Amino acid sequence: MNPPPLDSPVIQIENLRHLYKTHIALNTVSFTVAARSIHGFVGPNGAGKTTTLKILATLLRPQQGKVEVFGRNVVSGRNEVRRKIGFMPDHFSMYRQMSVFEYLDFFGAAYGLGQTQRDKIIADVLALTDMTARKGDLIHALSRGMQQRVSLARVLVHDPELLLLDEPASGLDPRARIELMEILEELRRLGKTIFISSHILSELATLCDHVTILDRGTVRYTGTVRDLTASGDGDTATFQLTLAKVHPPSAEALAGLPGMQRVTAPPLPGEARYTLVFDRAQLAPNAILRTVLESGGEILAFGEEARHLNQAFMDLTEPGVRA
Amino acid sequence: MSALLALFVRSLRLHVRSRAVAVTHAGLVGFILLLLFVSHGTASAVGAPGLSFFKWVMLLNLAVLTLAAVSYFASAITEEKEEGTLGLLQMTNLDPLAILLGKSTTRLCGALLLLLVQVPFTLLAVTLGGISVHQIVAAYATVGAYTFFLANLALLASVLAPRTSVASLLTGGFIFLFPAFVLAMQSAPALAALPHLRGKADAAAALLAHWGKALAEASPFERLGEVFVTGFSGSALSWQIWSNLGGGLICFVLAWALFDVTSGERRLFASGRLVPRADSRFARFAPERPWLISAIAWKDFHFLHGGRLVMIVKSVVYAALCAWLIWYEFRAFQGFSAAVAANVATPAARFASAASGIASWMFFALAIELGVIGSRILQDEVRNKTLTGLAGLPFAMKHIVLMKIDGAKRALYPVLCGLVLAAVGAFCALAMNPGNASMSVLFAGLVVGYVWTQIWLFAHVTARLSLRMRWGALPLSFAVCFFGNLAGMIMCIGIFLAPIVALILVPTLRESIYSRLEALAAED
Repeated sequence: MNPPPLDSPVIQIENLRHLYKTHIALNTVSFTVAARSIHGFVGPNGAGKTTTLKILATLLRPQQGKVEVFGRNVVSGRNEVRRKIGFMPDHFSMYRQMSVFEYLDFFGAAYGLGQTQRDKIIADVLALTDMTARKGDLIHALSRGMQQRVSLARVLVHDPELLLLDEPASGLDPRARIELMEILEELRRLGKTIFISSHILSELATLCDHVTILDRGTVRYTGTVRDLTASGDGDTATFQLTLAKVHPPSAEALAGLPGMQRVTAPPLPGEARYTLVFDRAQLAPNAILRTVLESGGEILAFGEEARHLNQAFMDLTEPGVRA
Repeated sequence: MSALLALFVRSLRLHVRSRAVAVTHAGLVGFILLLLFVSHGTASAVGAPGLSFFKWVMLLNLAVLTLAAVSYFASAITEEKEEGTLGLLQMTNLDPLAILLGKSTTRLCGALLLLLVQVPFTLLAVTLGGISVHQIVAAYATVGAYTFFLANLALLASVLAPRTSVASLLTGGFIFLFPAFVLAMQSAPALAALPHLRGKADAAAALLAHWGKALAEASPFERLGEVFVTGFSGSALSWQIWSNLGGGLICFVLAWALFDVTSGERRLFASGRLVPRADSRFARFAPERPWLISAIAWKDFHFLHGGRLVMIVKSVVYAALCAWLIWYEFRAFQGFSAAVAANVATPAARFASAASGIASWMFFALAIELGVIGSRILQDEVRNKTLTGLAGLPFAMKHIVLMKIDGAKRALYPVLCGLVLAAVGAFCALAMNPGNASMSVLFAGLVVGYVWTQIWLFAHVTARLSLRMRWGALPLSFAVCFFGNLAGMIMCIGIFLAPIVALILVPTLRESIYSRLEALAAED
């Protein structure tokens, strides 16, 4: 099967609404996920992330709205969708009395893979998750991090094109988390689309190219991580300039440039860090650098100020627990 | 309040306040009243209606308590192990005795209360005639002691086992194999009388038979048989009561002594796996590669039903039981004179008797096996949170359940072979005596159809209830099916109506199971 073209939507959700009795879990949620991207899905507890993931995994029927995965409706094309996705829930869904190999072999056979094909793919996923040496171990004897790897290996055993991962890094130690993120990077390189829900924003910020922020059943943001973390409103840009020492002539020259809106003085005495806000249409960063050099300033660092994902998250979501 | 009793008192309070407990008590009393009403209505047509009524109540009590031991009592400690909360309990200042009292003795008290609540109503049996207050007191003492033994036996299994399924298996294995063991001990003199053993093992056989008799007298069924004899005037306190209380106490003390050993880091049976592994000494019984045609059946057959090793053990047990039944049947006629044997102990009669004996035991075993399978086949997936993985496979839930039934079917081959053997015996009997074959076949067909459909319905009710209840699905479904069949029998149409009811209910239950599983997979 040919992989979907780049940027074509693998997941398409339009006006999705889901209620648990009278509680509105999802309220007209709409977003898309592009092929071969790593798309982060974040939100406070109770925002509706797991409900969305379960609907995408065809475990829960959407009550209103359109949900398509690879162009197939998750209700009418449920079995086709299931063959193309791998869902890793937020808890360990494992037969602990099986060995790692038996567990993967079982799921491979359940997906209808022949023995030769299973042997090859199991060897591949064990190598990818670095579990080859532990394939004979019973699952219940593995540590949490190891079980998480086996869980991920299980999701990959039928070679799905889309991975739906619900909190895959929860409860893992820092090393295991970093290794998991490396595996996900590798999977993207192999052409998989990854839709990942997580609370660890710092890791999502470096891993994901797209992100959707959900709060109280409503999408607060969906788009690229770069756009979300970029400062300014699109017309203006905010840059940080660090000089070797405080240099008032440079600051004065910069303030006089056409399009420069504000040059903020160093926050602490002796600290030569300036914040520059300017109009993107009138002023280019190269012109700023040239001006500083010409005025005799010694540049140590220069770059666009980025909001951290944490800050964006805090700005976009409401405080408090959802009633 | 001392720490020793803190958990016990709290659990008892919760038990007393529980709505489910109140409903169970009310349901039981309501059924007894219905039974009483029917007995009163038919009093003129039945000899000793009070005795007959009371026998039914006691039979029901023994059946429900035995099933409760396998499910309710056996999960007392294992449910904490499965939830991972036993360690938290141990971190408090509760010592093992307090945990045992809190977790198990409360359940025992609940069961005893269930017996106590019946007493005012069952005493009315005296007014119906055929039974005395003394007999009623003796019968309740018998059942009470048996309850004490069962609760503590199951507690010991629960302490030893890592999971409820293993605890249930240990308890059920003891309860159902114990009578066979006792029977074997009592048969020792007959074996010693065989030509090549004659005179060599008489003393040992006599000793075994003596102990076998003592153990048999510890059975509540045997004791109730004595109590229900008209004019019973023996003591209410018998060897059965003392032996059951003593046995229960020993089990409790053992559970207490072994609690720390089995719940700590180094647990007994803690391999987490009953099926042999490919690199073990029993590699020949290890699971082969998953079956491509039905991987879920492979998983269930090996990892839920025990695989080939358990199947071999069951085959040996059932084969031994069948062999013993055949041997007993043919030996029983040996003492008859040639004239009597020619008329009564004809080969056809022997075959018919052996076949009916085998069929009865095999249907009993099938009911137990299907009940246990029904209670675990779906609940284990829910409890272990593995349902999401299965539900995510590219099959409809109906297909997944059918594959699970396929796995269960394979586990039932030994008992089904026993039933085939019974059918062959019956066919031989018919072939030897074709005189009234059509009537015999019709009657046998009716009985087999009735039993088969009821067992099938029982398994489905158990499976459905197991998706609602964490424990107790097995005894509750037994009670539901038992009451339903009893009502049918009382109305004298059960044998015709019950199969039809089962055939209507089973597909409905299946649909309900599919939708419930889908809902649980989404909730998981």
